[in-house]
Amino acid sequence: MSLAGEAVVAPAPEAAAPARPRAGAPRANPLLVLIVTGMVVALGSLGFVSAAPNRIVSGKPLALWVAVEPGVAALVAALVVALGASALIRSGVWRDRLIALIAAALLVASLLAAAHAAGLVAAASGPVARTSLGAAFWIVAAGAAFALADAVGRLAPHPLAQSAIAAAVVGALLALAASGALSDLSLAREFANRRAAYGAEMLRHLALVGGALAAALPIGTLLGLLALRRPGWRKPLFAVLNLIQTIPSIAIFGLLIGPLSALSGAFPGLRALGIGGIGAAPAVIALTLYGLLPVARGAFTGLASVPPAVIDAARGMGLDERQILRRVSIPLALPILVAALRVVVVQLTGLTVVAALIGAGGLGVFIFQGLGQTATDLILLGALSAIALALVFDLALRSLGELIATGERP
Amino acid sequence: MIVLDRLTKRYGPTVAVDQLSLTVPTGSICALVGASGCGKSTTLRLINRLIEPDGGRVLIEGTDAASLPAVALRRRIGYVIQSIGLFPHWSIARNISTVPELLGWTPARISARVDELLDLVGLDPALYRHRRPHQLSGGQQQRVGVARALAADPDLLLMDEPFGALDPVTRDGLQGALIDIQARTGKTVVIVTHDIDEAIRLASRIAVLDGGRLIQQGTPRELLAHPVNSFVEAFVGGPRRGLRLLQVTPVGERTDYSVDHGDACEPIAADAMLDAALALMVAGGTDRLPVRDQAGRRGTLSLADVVTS
Repeated sequence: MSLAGEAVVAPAPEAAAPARPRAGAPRANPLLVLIVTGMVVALGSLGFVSAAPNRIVSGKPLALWVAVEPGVAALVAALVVALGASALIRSGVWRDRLIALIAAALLVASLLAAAHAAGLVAAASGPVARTSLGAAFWIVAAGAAFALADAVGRLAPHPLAQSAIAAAVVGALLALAASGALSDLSLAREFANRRAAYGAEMLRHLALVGGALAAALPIGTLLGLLALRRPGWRKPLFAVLNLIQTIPSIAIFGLLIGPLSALSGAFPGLRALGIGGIGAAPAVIALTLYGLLPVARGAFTGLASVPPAVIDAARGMGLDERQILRRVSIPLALPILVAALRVVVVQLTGLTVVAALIGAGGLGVFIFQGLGQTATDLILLGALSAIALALVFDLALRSLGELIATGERP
Repeated sequence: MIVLDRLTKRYGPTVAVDQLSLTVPTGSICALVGASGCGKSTTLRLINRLIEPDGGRVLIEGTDAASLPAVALRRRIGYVIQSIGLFPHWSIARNISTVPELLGWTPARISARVDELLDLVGLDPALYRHRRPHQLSGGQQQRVGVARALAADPDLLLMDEPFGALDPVTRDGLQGALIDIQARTGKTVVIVTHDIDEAIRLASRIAVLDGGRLIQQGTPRELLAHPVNSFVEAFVGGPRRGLRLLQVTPVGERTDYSVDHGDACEPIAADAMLDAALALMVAGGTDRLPVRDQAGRRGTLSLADVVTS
C-alpha cells in the first residue's frame, strides 16, 4: 500500500521541476541593472567631489579614486558591484531584502566617502578650502535611494510601513549629519556658518506656509462649498482659480507690491501691523491665492463624491444642514480632503522659497544669497532644506490619509 | 390621520402636483401609484417637507406640517428610500440610532432599541449590530433602512419605492416583513410604488396619480372592480385585472353555505382569496371545492361562482 503510494507520488517533484524557472517570472531587475550601469559610468567619468581653494572660486572635479584613500574607494566600488550583482538574482523576497540592505549601505558609504574626501582636502589645502558634492556622488546617491525605495515598495506594500521606513532613512541621514561626521563638506560648513539664521528662517518658512494655509483652508473650503451648492458658479469660479495658478509666482509677488504699498501709504496703521508692499503680507496673500485652487477643488470633489442617496436619507431623517456636513459629508469626503491638503501643503512649501525675493524670509533666503555670491552649496542648503521639508509634510499627510482610509475599512 | 389638502407644487411652467387632496386614516397603508413623473414621489416629499408646497396644506393629526420646524417634523416621520442611503462609515447599530441620538436618548435606551428593531426586521442583533452596510446584501440593507426609519417610533412612515431595486424573491420577503411589522406596530404608512401588484398586496387604500392629479382612490378591490376611466383600467392591468381581482376577493364571499361538499379533499379557508381557490381547482381537475370558515361552517365553492359574482 505505502510502496504503491510512493511509486505514484515519487515522479511528481521531478515533473514539477522543469516548470519552476518559468514560475520565477522576471529573473533580473532590468531597471536596477540600468541604474548600476549609470553609477559605474558616472564614477568612471565624473567627479565624485569637487575641491576649491576657497568658497567663491569654482571647484575642480576629483574622481572617486583620486579623492579618497584606495580602501574607501574600493568599498564604494564593491557596494556598487554588489548592487549590480544582486539585480541579476532571481526575483524574490530575499533579493529585495539584499537590494535594500546594499542600497542603504551604499547611500551611507557614499556620503561618508565624500566627507572623508573633504577631510583630506582640508588637511592638504587648509581650512578655507571647500569640498562640494560632485556629479558622480549625486548619481550614486540618487540611484541608491531609488533602488532602496523600489525594493522597500515591494517588500512592504502597505503605505504606512513605507512611510515608517522612509522616516527611518531620513532620521538616519539627519543623525549622520548631526554627529559631525560630515562637517568638512562645504554644505555642512555653509550650515555651520548660518546655524542661527537657519533656525530662524526655517521657522519663518513654516510660519509663511502656516499663515497661507490658515487663510486658504477656510476660504478655499467655502469656495468649494459654493461650487457644490451653486452649479452655475462652478465654471467661472474654477476658471478664475485656474487662472491664478497660471500666473508665475514672481509676477504675482510683484503685482501685489503696488496695491499693498499704496494701501499702507494711505492707512499708516496698516504699516504698524507689518502690512506693506514687501515682507510677509504680500507673500502670505500670494501663497493663499495659490492655495485656493487645490483646497476648493478638493473640497468640491470630496463633498460631491458623497452619494446623493446618503444625503437624501440624512435630510429625510431630520439632520439639519450642519449635522449633514459634520456627521455625514465631511467624514465620507475625508480621504479626498486629506489628499487635497497634502497637495496644498507640499505646493506651498515649495512656493514659499520664492517669497524671499520680496523680503518675506524663509529658506529661499539662502538660495538667493547663494545665487548672489555664486556659492552653490549655499543654494543647495536652502533647496535641499525646502525639499526635505516638503517630503516630511508629504509623508506625514500620506500616513494620515492612510490611517483614515484604514479606519474606514473594517 | 394624514390629510393632504389641495396640495400643489410647480417647477417653472410644469405642475408636478396639482390640487391633490387625499386622506390617509391612522394605522392604514396607503399606496401612491402611477407612471414615473406622475408626481407620486414629489407628493411624498411634500409630506415631510423635503420639498415645500406652492399651495395647499399637509395636516398630520390635525396639525399643519408647515407650522412645525421642518427638521423636528422629519424626526417624527420615518423615511425609507429606494437607494436605501445607509451611512457607509457607520455600523448598522449607529445607523439605526441616528434619530434617537439626535433626540437625545440615553445610550442604554438607544442600545436596547437597536436590538429590538433588528429583531423586528428579522436580523440577528448579535450578528449584525457591528457590521458595516457594505457587508450586507441589498435586502438586508433595506431591512436596516426600515429599522432606521422606525427607530424613534414615529407614527408615520414614508416609503419611496423601498423595494424597487431588489430582486423578486427578496422583495417578496420584505413586503411580507412590512405587512407583519405594520400589523404589529399599527403605523400609518404612505408608500410610493409603480408596481400595482405591490400596491395591491400591501395597501388598504391605493391612490392613482397621473400628471400630478389624483385620478382615483379606493381599496384595491374598488380600483380593480370599478376603474373610473381607461387610464386607471390600463394601469391596474387592462383585461388581466380580472386575475388581480381574484387576489383580493375572499373565498367566503362566493361560497354557497347551503351545500356541504363534504371532505372529498382538504377544505379551503373562507378567508383565503379566490386566486388560491382557482389554483386548487386547476391543480385538482375539479370545478368544486369544500370551504370551511373560521366558525367551522361548511360550504361549497363552484367554478361558476368564482367567475361570476
